[in-house]
Amino acid sequence: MMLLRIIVSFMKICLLAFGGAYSAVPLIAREVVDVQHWMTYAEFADLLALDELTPGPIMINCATFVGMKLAGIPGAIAASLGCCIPPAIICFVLDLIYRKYREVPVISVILQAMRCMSLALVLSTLISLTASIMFHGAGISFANLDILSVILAAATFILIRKEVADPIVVLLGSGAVSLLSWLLLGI
Amino acid sequence: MDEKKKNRLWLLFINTLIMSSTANSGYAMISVMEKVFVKKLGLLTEEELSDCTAMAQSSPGPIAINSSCLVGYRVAGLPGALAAMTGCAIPPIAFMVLVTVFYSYIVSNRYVEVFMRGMQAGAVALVLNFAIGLFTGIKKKKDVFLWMLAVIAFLYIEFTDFPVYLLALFCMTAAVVKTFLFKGKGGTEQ
Repeated sequence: MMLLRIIVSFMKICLLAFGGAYSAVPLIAREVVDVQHWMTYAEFADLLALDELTPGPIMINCATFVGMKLAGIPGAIAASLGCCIPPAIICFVLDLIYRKYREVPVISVILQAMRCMSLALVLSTLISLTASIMFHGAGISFANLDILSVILAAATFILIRKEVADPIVVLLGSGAVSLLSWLLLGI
Repeated sequence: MDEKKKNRLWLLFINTLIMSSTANSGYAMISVMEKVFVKKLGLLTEEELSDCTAMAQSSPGPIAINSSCLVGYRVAGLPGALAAMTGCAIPPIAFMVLVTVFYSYIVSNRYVEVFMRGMQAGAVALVLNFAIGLFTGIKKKKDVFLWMLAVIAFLYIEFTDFPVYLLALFCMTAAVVKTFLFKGKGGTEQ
């Protein structure tokens, strides 16, 4: 019944994920880490980094990773199916309406409301990720703060924001710096 | 006739397969679709594609999957939609299966662990970047109501254990009710 649970979980995520990756990531974090306890926030951060290394929609990538972890290749396919079924159905319905009326005015209103929810969700995910990565889940205090992670995150953020390099290059660079500082300085 | 239809299904499948294994986001995929399906193959018109992409962006789910599904449907009906969606889904699944297998083999290695530590810090920055993208999108609307929704949603998520779909329903209803209440009075919407 694990496969069924995986499909249902990803169908739920998919139905609420309006507007692509921005909204999908926090929804996946909430369902997979907080609700189902299938992985930790540290593993989730690994997943986000690995997603950058592979092409394709982030939702399918996440679904495949989680599915693989829980039930191997059948799990990966089940989770990805869960991401494809709801949009397929909704798209057909929308296409029918669209052909008849050309536009659906309520949709832009709904999209705005969902963007607000996405912002709230993404902030919540950001807090949990920070607690897990920057403080190693050991409570928010200065003694637990991982200075190297903070520096790397800040540098990554600036480089991605200024569009200096491709995110994938920046992430790999961040990994390389982390490895170097461990080899050379022992931190 | 039948031969022609089969040919179209193949074209849809092969091209979405190629696009999905090279494009990194749904938006990138849409621009490639224009080049291939409209300009090169002439399977659908510019206008039809823009209808499809508008719908793809306003329905839930991965934008790449949505747009493949809609384009496939326009070009060759239900079989077309299935062909395009399958083509779009296979590469990310295949790549990610490989990456996951590789990851589970090497993750316990001390060097890899330290390398991943750096990548994790980078992932936090990625999520911060998402948050800023959404924040500026809402800011542009200059609408206090949207900020109120965002704050309510944040409190709901942080301090209650209720499921997200209830929150989604609440936000949608609030936005729709608000739009119709203010419509007659010349509210802030276009």
